[in-house]
Amino acid sequence: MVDSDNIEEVMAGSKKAIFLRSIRIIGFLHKTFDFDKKEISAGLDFKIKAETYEKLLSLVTIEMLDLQMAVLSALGMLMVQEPSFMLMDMTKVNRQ
Amino acid sequence: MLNSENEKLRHVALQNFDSYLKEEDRRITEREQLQLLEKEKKEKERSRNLSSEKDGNDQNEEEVEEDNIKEMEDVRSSQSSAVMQLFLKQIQVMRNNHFRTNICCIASFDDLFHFQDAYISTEATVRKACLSVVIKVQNQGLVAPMGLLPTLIAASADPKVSSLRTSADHVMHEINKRQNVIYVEALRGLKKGNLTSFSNFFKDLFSF
Repeated sequence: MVDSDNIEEVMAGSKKAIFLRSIRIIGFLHKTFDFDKKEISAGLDFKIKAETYEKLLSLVTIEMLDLQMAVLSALGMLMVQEPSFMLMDMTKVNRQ
Repeated sequence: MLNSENEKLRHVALQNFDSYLKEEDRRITEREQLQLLEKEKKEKERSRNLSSEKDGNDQNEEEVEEDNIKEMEDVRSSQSSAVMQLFLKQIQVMRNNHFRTNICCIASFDDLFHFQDAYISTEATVRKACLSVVIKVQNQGLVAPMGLLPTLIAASADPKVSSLRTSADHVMHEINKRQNVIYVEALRGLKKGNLTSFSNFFKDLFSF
């Protein structure tokens, strides 16, 4: 789990570029594919889109411009696939 | 993020809205094409079945199906409309703290900046993204055009980017064709336009 406590460690050296790219790729994948389809999410006890949304949203609060831009971009792509996330309270709170 | 001090973050947030609206537009176009194809198919089938006695019953079923498709479209468009109504105020009333800190030494201008706007940005990319969102919202008819007019008027007097002026003028002309309401929001629009020019002027001044 990445948070403000271990962010320096996660972002050390070349890991930073890989981590940021991974976040963007997650966004692109969510824009392209619907991960809550039965064929993909069969057997899982959680919803992939909701879980991704929560994890990405937890990264927004970390004060690091590169990370915030990547996360915001990924969240935008996720919300293109699932616009109902835009109307959620958590998004509204983070909007302030 | 929409109220962030950082222009880059605001730009990304605006781009997200832009891509969302673009995607919605694409989906609507695809659905319309599908509907057209289905209609053509049904018309062909109907012409084949014209002689049969069941023709009347078939027509009723088709009407019911068309109603359901219309309902589905309403749900999608009402969702995007709700989203835009929720965020449009934020898009149009973003804080421009960077500009404010630059300008706070001039007390007489301070009152002007209570009225802040996403379009009042020193970055051309942010202004471009903001206008793009506003134009897409207008084209898709997601909110009443009155709320968009101040931004469009300000964009039509953009101090630096001529393409913004042209596209804003075009959209305003389209709105004016349908209803003559531009004069209602003219004052607010002019204020926004002036603030945009001021912000760019002071940015250039302080950058020396």
